Amino acid sequence: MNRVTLGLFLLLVTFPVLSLEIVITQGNDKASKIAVVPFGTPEGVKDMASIVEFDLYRSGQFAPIAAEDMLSLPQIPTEVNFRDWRVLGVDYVVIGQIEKEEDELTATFYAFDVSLERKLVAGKVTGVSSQHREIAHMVADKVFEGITDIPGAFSTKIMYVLVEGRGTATPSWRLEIADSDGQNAQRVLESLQPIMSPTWAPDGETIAYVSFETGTPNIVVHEIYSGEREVVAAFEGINSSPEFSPDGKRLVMSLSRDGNPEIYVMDVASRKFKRITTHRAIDTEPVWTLDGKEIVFMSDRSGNPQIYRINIESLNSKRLTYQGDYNARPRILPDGKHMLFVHRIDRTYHIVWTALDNSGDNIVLTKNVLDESPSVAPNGSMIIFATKEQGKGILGIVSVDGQVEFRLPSSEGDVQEPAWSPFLSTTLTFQQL
Amino acid sequence: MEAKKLTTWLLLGVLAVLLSSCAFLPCGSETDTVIDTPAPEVVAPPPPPPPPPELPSDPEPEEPPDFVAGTDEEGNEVLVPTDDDGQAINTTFNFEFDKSDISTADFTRLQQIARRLVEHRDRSATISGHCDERGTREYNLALGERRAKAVADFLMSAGVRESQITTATFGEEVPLDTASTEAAWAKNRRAVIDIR
Repeated sequence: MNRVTLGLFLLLVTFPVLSLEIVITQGNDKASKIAVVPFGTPEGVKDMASIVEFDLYRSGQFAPIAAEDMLSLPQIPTEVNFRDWRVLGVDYVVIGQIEKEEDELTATFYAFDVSLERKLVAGKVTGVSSQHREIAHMVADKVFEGITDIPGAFSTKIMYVLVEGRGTATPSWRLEIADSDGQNAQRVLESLQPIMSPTWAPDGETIAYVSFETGTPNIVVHEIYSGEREVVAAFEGINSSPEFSPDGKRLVMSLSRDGNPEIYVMDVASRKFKRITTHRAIDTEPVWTLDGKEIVFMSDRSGNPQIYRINIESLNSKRLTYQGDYNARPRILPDGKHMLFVHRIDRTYHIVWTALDNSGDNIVLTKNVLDESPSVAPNGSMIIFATKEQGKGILGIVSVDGQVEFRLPSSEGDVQEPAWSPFLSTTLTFQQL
Repeated sequence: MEAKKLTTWLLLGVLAVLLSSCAFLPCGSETDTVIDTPAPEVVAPPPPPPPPPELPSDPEPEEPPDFVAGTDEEGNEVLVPTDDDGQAINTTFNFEFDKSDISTADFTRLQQIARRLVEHRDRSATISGHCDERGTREYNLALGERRAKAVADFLMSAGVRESQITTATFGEEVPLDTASTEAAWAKNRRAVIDIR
């Protein structure tokens, strides 16, 4: 075993750190026009409509109009005059009011379809005042779902690795979790050795990642809220690429304990391992299909990196990618029928998606030089990825139709390997009206 | 074209194994790692020991040391092997993009390092493989391992014991140069031998 043992600063609880700021780089001219009217807000409470508006904007499906262009500023349904909005060409109107009682904050909201002159969704979201942003994100989720019939994913989180001092003799790695808009960043772990491949369990409270804190890459399972962590794979060689099964009971990974990287499935409760691939090539970057019966992974068994699928019972495998000579790091979209991956075109790397049954062409989503590590929002609407801009590692988010793109740069270090959380449980209460 | 290149490579490889097995150390020692190739007839004798000093006050030229003190990429102390002239040998080996083949130009340097490790069985080598930033991280982690193992295999074929060698990979996580240029990438694609 490697003798290198270097320091590690482990934080048992998360604590707030600098947030990522969103920069929109490409808007959508086909987006629906929406008016998020400033909410009726008691004194001392921050505006919530601007958070709701920005959430809807960054989904790529909505183009908000500015408050100063609005002809009226309704706060309750009886004040909505559809003519005021029709003349502006507005498709949807969102209104709301915030009430504060003691430490309790309630947002009441309504969303209307202007052409149908009809209420689409309305409700009350209640929480404590420290949950201000959380409440706003839930309002945006409900409005998004009311209009598109797709659950909103604004209340979800993103996890990523932040590296400081890359290329120096003393780099450090941090694992952070932030709201899906980059705000409210919390540090989960800090290490003087690399942290890689962070991923979420379906419960949204457990994560797994690769840590080099003992000098070699090992797989750690970590409970976010208790800070409890356990090394689950520390075999000789590489222990990498963990991904939880859709039921959370198994972890697929790549281990080189047999001499070269192979795909293994570990039962989380019993810690029993089952070897899935047997090939002298590199087999890594595994991910589950939604039914939990197959693994999609990358192998260079053909001579260059390509994506394959394998049934974990029959062990029958099938090559999925044939276009180009570099296809890697697959992720399955929530529809279960498509996958995202990294595809090289000439000498540049892009995020593309294609049908899992190989029935269609690659749809290219990103156009930078070094795009990698794609991860999809649980509602399938947005994709987060890592890229390099002006020499720095940053995160990018692109809508699944490629129409809207924005950046989440950090003022500190390089940001990489984003992982979008599943839908998370909440302490907020929602009441439909 | 390919076949010719391969043949050349194989020949060089065989030559390397032949040379490495015996050229720099006495052959047939029972403790040596077994090498499948038969020992060649001609064996270069080890350099004769310097004559004992006749006058203690006379400063005699000392035999160059087998290792000199140095540091690894993180600044930790390591032993740097030396060549016959006592000059430190560069223990970093570079690779082509997405490849783990050792350049034939590096064979001599690797032989010299192997020789020092064979002469000093108490010394151990950690070989760390690295990649440039292009391509996916998990694949690069595996590629880094492949590079480290290619160097390890070469050393072992030159007589270094498996127990003396540890391989490690850092994929693309620890670059030497963070620029996105051909020069930086070439520098970052490496395997580094650290001897302790």
